[in-house]
Amino acid sequence: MMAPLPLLPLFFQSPWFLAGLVSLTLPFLLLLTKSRTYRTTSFSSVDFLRTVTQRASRVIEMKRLILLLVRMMLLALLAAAFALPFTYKNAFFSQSASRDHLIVVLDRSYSMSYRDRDVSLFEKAKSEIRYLLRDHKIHHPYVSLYVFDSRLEQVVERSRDYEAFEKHLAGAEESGFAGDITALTQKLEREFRKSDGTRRSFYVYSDLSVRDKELFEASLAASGNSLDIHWRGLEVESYRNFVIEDIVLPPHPFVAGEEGEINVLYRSYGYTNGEGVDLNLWVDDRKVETLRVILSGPGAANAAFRYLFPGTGTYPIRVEAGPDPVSWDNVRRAVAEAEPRVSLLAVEAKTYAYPFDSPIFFFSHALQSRQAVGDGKSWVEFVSVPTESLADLELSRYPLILITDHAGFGPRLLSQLRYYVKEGGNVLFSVGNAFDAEGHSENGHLEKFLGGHFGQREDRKPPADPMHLGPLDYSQPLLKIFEAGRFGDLARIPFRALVPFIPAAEAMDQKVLLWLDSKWPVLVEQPMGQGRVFVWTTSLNHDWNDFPKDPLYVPFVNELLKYIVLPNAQNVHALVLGEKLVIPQDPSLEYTVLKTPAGEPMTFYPSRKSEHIPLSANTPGFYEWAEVYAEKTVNKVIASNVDARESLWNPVTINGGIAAPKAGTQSLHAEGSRKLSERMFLYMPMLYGALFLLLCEAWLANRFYQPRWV
Amino acid sequence: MSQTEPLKNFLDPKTVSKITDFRLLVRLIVDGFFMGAHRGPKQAFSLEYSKHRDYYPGDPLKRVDWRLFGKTDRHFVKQYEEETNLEAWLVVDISKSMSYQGSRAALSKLRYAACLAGAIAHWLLGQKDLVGLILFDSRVRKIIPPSSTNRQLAILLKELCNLKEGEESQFEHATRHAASRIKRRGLIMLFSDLLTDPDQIEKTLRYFLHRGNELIVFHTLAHEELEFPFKRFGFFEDMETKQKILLQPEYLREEYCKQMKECLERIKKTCMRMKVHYEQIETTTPFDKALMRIVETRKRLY
Repeated sequence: MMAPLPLLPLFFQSPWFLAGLVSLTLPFLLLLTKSRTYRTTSFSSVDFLRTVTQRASRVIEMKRLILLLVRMMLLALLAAAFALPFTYKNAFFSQSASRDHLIVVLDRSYSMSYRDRDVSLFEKAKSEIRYLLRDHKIHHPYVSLYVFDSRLEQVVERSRDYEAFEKHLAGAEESGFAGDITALTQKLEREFRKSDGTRRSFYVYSDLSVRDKELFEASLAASGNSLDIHWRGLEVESYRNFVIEDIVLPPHPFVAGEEGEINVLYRSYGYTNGEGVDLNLWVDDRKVETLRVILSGPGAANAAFRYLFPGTGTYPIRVEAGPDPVSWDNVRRAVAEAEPRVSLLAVEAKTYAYPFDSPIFFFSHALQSRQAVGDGKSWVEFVSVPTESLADLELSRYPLILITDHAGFGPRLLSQLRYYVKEGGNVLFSVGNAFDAEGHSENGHLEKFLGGHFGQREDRKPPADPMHLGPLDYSQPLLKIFEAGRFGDLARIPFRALVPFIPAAEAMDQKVLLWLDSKWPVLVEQPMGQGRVFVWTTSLNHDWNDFPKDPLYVPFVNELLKYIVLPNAQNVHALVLGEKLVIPQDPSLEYTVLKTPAGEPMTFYPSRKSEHIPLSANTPGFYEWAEVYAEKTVNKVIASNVDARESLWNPVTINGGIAAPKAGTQSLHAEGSRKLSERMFLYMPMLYGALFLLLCEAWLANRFYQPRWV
Repeated sequence: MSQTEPLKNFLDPKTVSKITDFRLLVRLIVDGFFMGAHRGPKQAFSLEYSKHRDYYPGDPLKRVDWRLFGKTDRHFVKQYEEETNLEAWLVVDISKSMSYQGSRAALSKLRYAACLAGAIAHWLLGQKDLVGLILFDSRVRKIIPPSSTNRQLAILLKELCNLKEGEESQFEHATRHAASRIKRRGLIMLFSDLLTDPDQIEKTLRYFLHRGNELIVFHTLAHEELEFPFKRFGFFEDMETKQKILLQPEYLREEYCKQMKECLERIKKTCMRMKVHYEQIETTTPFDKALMRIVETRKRLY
């Protein structure tokens, strides 16, 4: 279906004035009625006159029709001018409907949910897009719809199905994420780099700043694209917002029975100094605490709740700002775990001058990284004792004893440890620079305790290739979170040295949890009584490998500790912050419904293009996941809480969940005024035209000696 | 004011138009015209001897000059130069176009032609000439055979007085028919506006001249037809066909006059070529002038 393309598409702001076009019939009616009243002069014969005036009469008839036409045009112009006609600048240059492509890009970042006079910016943008579509339908262009926040997503592919477009537009909702112009730019630049002869017009609806817009255009221009971009900044008359950017929880469970600290990062705009906003903490759908924050002007800040988790378990928590109506929807969710505190006993043969010289420094820091970057309290309590004090301690208090230095471990101490393990304790035994493999082999006490014997230390110093982990069995609980390289590949970590541990022939129940590609085990589990003994055949610090420097170290150590001390605990840490969500590749899968912690359900259909959902678990909390197959529906609840980036030794910056407009009121006003200028009102030219026609009419009527309006 | 002035007034069509008695009207025109003329209006015609010729069998015996036979014993036939009273035909076009009067004239073309024809009839009958009348439009409507009786004038004037406009003119057809009804040579006076194709006019004139008739054409026209003085934009309706034409007269006047002049010249030349006396008479022309032209024409011809 091809619609005819008008030369100048006109739209009317007050179309009811077009009813005045009925007056066009007036000259006709007058002509029909009044023409009979022309004076008729009887003449003897008009045959002679006819021959004389044949040509002249034709000219007169023509002029009379011209006069009629002029009068009708005059009335039409007047009626049209009162209807306030307008057009769009680019409409003048439309060449072909079939080559037009209207690309609408809608910002759905959280800041677009700001309500200005009871209408959110997002709804306002959608309304403007509907008007835009209505105005452009006449060209019969192709239309596409993109939405973006931190990512760009194509909602409507290039088509002329305007109903589908409007349906998808109506279904679009704001996200809880920040808008990022960079992603938009890169994606568009990549998508529309090649010219296929289509005249593309981009309409970007966003509350991002003018600077962002300029960056956007400059970036596209630099890439060699000359795209027709219409930036529709959304006008906000009174911008006032309070945004909860994130809830920061400790990466590890809270300690049941102790007060935990829940940090809330927020950002405020448009508040006067000293105004207050109430933050409400909900745990298990019960409001447990209200915290009043006093704002000291625009900017970001944080507030901390302290909450006593009564017992072990998983607690859905929610923080909302209220009752300020501006930010009533400003809610963040997370999930917190409360576990009994774990006391870890580290046995060291000596005291180190510098903490980072300690073999357990990285291990302990990884378990308490939240403590390092914030005020959170770790669930792991580290007790470090010299070897000689071990005999005096009540070991049953500690679910795990970490041994990295083996000096002084004689038969007596080992006997004490064996008893401890058999009663349900756990020992993690690690080697290092101070480890004397030959000495232990000679006396055999330690090897007997560990159920194997040590070989000659193997070094892979440069230029020799380092060793790597592998093969990896992701089905075992320890490695489950690393399955399919979710947030990094364990096999990439180089190991430069280890002491081979060869299990004894009689140790039938030993289990190798991790292998190196040199065929040596790295982590060996040896059950003993009710407890277990673990052997880590390389250093726990970065002397023999780069594991402690890798982002994977923190989740690994946490998982290892949970594996050791909480063997029966339900592992709810199926996701890590920042991890991509993956749809199963199953032909029978019809679609997947995902409900994020922000509460927005999203439906994903299997696509040939990508097997990944273009979404990551950026928000801590529960992700409800339903896989709908032809015959069954599989529901899952997964949660994200641990951020692998914490082991990078940098202050934690949570990118997910930040929803903040980057522009102030002033720039938004400037955008609004630009928007109006793109319409071209035509009533003044029409009035001038009507005046000109009026003069023409007067002149012609006078020239023909005609009675007026006949 | 001389004694003749009151009668002269009756030669003006405006005055004439106010007189309802047509017989009186015609008499006034004729009397007004001849008032003060030196020559009497009465003239006579007679048979005059021409020559003798031998008798040939077949000649009527009554033509034989028996007196000369008595003297010469031979048969001779006496020939005369025929000199009888004039047989005049008044042929009046009564088509609808002749009823056009215009704004300046007091009489329509038809009425004017009727008055003039009546005056001529009055004059000729006074000379004991034979006068007949033919009225035609699309066909011949009325024929009154020529006669010189006293009653003839009354008949003619009654007919002319009660003239009604006829139908659409079919000039060629009607005049051919009319010409066929004229059996003897005579004087034919045609009163018409000649609003037809000039080629048809020539044909018509040939019909009338066929028997050696003398023909005078009174081309009767209104002032408006000659000058086209209209100003107002509007329809012009054909009086015969009722067809309308919308025009702006001011723009056309010059062209119209030019074309009309050419048309009249063409008719005039045709008449000259065919030895037909042509008189163009406007309906505003006083009757005496019109009659004077006729008299002068007669003098020139004879």
